[in-house]
Amino acid sequence: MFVEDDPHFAELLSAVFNSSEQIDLRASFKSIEDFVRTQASEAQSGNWYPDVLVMDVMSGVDIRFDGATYANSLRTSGVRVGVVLVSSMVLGKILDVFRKTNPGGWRALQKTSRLKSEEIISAVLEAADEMRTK
Amino acid sequence: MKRLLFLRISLLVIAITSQGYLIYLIRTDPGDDLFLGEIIAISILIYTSTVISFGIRNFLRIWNRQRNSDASIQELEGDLNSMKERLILVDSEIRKQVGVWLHGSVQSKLMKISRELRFYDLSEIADEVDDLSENEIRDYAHKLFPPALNISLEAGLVDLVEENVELVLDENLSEQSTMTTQTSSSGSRISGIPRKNRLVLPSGLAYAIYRVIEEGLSNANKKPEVTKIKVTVKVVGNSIEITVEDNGSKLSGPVSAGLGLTLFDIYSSNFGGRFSLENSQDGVVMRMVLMFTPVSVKDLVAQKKAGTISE
Repeated sequence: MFVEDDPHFAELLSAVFNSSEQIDLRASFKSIEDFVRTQASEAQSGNWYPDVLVMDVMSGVDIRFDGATYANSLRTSGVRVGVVLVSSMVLGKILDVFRKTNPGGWRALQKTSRLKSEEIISAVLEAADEMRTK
Repeated sequence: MKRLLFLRISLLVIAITSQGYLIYLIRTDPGDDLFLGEIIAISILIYTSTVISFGIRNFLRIWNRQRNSDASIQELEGDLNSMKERLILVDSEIRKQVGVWLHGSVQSKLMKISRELRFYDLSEIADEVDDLSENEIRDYAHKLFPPALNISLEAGLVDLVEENVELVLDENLSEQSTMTTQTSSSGSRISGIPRKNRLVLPSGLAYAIYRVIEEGLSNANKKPEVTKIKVTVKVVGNSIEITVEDNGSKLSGPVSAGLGLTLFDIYSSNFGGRFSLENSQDGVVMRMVLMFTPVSVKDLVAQKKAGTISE
């Protein structure tokens, strides 16, 4: 599952996940609001949440709400989901802030043209593994 | 000057004489002649009381005018402060929006171009586009509004400080007092239940705190002997207290006004606060207090629900 408002990067993520045999893409959302809307109607029924959520940091229609804080709040509320944060900024040190609150299952990817498919896949798999062993 | 004095004395003599003549004319018993001295004395008394009453009236008029102008000045000061607050808000919101646009939309489009260039084996041009996107635009976006502040003050500060810096952030501003999610039935809004009422800072204040600490760190790092810097951000009632303390050489005298001090002065004045730069036990400590109205995530959600703040 991923949340990405940039159509070019969303296209890239879809292509990478659909071509991977290790990853099953459940759904994609264009904004946090989109994600929240579906979550509200479907999350109660069965196992809606994926193993890993790929979340663009700035994918909210309302720029006061960011993807990182939202994903962190999901984890705080008890949802067991690995999170791969995606952003143009380098998230290394910032990721530690979230790791402190909700340890394990966090990865970050920086949006650059040099980003390889393998890096995206390995970030998702590592986040999932870490959540499983946590 | 002499002519004016002569004119005033003449008017005084005419006024007293005419009043005396008037008293002579309207005396109750025409047969009862008044002494000239009595007429003059009564005339002077009437004149003096008239002058005094006019004086009192003028004084009251001036006093009222003064009181009204004091009230107007207070009103103007209030308007000025409110305009200043709005300007700060508009400034930070514009910075934030342009920063988000540069960071999101512009960089994303450049990334797409770069990927396409690489697809057609034009790696050199792609590298140039990447350089433009990842260095120049990122730097500019960062100067406008540090993107990590879009996540939270803590994320912004963690991103800012180096390894030799100890960052002590108030629990009320920390991600560890984050909210738990609660989605509305329509799912159109993101709301939450705060665990520890994390405070939500206006973007202008978060930006000011960031810049003040950045400047404080820059001042401390200018001293080559500094090995340790401690940054503390504390919430005390309606104020945020920031301290940046280093273990470098102490101040030898009054600090001359430079760009850094001007910046501290601007921020402390904009947020009705104060700042000081003084020697501590180990080095130098910069203290700044910025005033604000604490709003928790809970308050913000309640305000959003009540529609008292814009969406």
